[in-house]
Amino acid sequence: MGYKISEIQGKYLSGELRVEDFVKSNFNKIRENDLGSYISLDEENALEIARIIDEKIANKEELGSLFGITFAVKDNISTKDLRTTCASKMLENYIPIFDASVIERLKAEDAIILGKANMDEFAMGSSSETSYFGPTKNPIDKSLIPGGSSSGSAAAVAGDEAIVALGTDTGGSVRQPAAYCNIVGYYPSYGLISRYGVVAMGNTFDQVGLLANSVEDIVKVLNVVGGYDEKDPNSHEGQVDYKLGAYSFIGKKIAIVKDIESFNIDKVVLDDYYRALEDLKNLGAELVEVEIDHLKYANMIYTVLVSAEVSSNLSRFDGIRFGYHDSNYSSTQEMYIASRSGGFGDEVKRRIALGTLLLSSNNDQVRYKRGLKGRKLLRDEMERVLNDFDFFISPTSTKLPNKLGERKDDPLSVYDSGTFNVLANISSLPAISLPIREGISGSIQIISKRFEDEKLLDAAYAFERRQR
Amino acid sequence: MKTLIGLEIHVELSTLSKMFCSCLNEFGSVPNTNVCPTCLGMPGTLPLMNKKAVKYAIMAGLAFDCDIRTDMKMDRKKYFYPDLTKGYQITQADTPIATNGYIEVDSEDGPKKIRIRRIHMEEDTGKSIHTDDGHTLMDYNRAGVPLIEIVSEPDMSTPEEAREFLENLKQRLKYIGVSDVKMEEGSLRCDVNINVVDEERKLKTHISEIKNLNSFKAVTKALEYEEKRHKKMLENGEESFKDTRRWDDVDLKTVKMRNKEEGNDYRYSVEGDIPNLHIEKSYIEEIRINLPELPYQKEKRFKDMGIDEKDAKTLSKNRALADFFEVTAEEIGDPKLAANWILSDLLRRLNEYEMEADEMNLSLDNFINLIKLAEEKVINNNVAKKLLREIFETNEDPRVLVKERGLGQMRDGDALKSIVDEVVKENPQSIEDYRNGKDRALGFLVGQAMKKSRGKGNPQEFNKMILEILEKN
Repeated sequence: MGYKISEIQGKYLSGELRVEDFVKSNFNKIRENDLGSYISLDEENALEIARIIDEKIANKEELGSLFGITFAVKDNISTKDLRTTCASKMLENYIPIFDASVIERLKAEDAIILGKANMDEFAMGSSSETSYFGPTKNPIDKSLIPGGSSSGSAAAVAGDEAIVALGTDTGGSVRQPAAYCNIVGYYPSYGLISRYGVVAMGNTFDQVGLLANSVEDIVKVLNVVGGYDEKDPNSHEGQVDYKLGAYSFIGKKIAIVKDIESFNIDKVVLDDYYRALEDLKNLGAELVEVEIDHLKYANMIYTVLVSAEVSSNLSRFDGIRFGYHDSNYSSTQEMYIASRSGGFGDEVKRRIALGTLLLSSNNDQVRYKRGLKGRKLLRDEMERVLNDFDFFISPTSTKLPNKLGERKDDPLSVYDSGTFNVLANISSLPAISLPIREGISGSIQIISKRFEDEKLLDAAYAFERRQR
Repeated sequence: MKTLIGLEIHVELSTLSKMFCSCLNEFGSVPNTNVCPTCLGMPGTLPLMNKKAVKYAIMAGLAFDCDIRTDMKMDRKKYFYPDLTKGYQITQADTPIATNGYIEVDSEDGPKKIRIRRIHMEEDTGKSIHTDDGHTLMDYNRAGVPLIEIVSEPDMSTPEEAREFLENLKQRLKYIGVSDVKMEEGSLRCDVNINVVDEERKLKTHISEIKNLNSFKAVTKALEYEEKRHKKMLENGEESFKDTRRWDDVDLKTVKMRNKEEGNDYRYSVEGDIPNLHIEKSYIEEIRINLPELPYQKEKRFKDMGIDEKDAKTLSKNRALADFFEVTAEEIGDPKLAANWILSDLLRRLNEYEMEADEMNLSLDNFINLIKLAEEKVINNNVAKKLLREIFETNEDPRVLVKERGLGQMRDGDALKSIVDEVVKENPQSIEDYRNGKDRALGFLVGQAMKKSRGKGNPQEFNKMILEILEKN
């Protein structure tokens, strides 16, 4: 199941499939599935580019490495002339005048962007249920949530509505929906993929992540969108040109979570996890249970720091230069209140309020400062663990996807299932989520040292192939 | 009673581009033409630090003898206002780039050190333009222009010291070339803090902050006004409040804007979009070595050249003027004479036209030529001074003018002698007066001689010749 870049491109080159026809079939699938994976479609433009690529193929012209590859792009990544809403009323009519760096790079390699994928509003949520445009359904079982916040990105890939998708991940927002839709989701080392043009949520946690049906496709896309970008001051030096196929688990020491059963994990997820660990042993890895002392604080550190960052990152939405503007006001202060109250949804408001409270000076920002300190302690601890071990492995999510609408009214629920996910974001470490078996099931997450993404992806590739 | 005054000064750095994007940093452009997605705060944009701005901030720190921090971060200062495009200002909260400096000013009790607590880097905001019909228009050309904020300790005890401090600060920043420090264009902006302490009664007033002072005069006037107001409150035992006020230029008084307690909580947090800054010590040293000579250093050197203290101070105030002086002194080989010409005549012209030395038309060459003409007695001093007034505007070559107009001084001894004889003959009364002790009569006679020579004679020469006659008989 699911498209693969090499297969599709092979068919293009052999003449078996025209790019235009494939793109059309993608759009047909989108309509047929009716998952709500996309907020905006760029059909006319996508078909136009498809025809140009068909012509290039026919004329044997030079082709970009992602020629004819269809993409769903999360709607918080700026696309020039294509509305970028962040699934919010605030940006319902916002059309960027510039492309994010990742979009520029995709376009330069002849990729085709089909449209903008649905998500939780401003990436806050883990189910798509906070989207102003309505939720996305899980393609495996339409009654279930697809996970989030990169909900549409995961659903589009899993539902054959695109070959690959770009998402963003602040605390698991790529890996968790990938797990729920049973595809591959990758969060790079902080700084490996440019954030220029990506609407910030928690800017020291956010990274563009990739969702695909295989590790191989993730690497193909990463080789295009990854690498140094002068427009992102946190961008890591050097180009990305990763190769796969060299990694072997034989004799490798891998850290796994100690007392996994104490983490309140769904039975199915736990069984699948044990199955994956068995597989790793069979591949020759040595698994060692490791206690991460500060793991129990991970959710708190994440919540405090991300909320604080959210409150400032979302301050620019005032309806003056762009975005929702409520003209019913009689003072400057009222103008802010009217536009921001009307433009943001509940979850976004909750997090802004929480962040604002945490940063207020009347308690000397004690929790914010403790959060910064906790982050440093956890980072240091993860670094020590990864100096001793090749990887740190855990389940991706502790839960299976629940029913749509089931937990919508429980604002606290979003904070509890992502303990292992936020570990990577807090520590700026790369992580990948891999399916274990077919259908709704558990996934595993592998974390490696920062900027050892190539090794991480190669190990994931090795693990993935054991399944076949 | 003791007055405590502290200043907070915002200075726009004269970099080519803005602090975090490549938009032009330029005053007076058509509104909203020097803008881009980054300085407009569009979603997804990221700030790229202007290295030149960091360099300028270091230069400013060194010019005030500050310690320069080698490791620092940027922070977000949050408040909502339409001129602030991101809803936060990128600034430095607890790691300012420079700390612990000072400026020496003249006080009633001699030289006094005014400490500078900190200098930090930040970005400027846009401008709100309120129209007559009640609308507000936004101009974001200034949004993201690099600023440094200089904060003094409350070490000044008179408005005059505050003015001196500000003057000195302005000179130095201009000297090192990091800002054009024009208060009228807003590239130098000053807020002041003031309160008064009664040390005997152990009482003090709460601090008032006065904002938006757009001239040196406004600073002194506002401080004088506040000093009186605070003293009166202490004397009358009135309760004072920590407040923020503004200076009303028309009614010449300060007006309360708000109590300080009502002010913003800026909810500072780390600016994670900009990696922590590390500055190499060697880089700081390189900047230190290349820093231009500062006013107070020049002043000292001018004194060593034999110029008296007051004049040395005046000459070193403005870098262009100081350069003018130095070259002139060297060319004519007489620092004192050069100083006299500049201080008495040139400066008067500059003041009259309200100009700085770097703005005037007159070239150094023509100025030196003029002094040489006078020194070589080709023209007398009066003619020279008249010519200066003229070439100050036109920048013509004085040598050409002297030739064209036949302004050359009479050097023919016989001709001078006959004029003197005539004058003596025609004014017996004055001669009588002189001999009766009225010294002023001599001046009259010299004047008459000058008149007869149609200004071409040398008054000193006439003076000498007439005196000889008067003494002889």
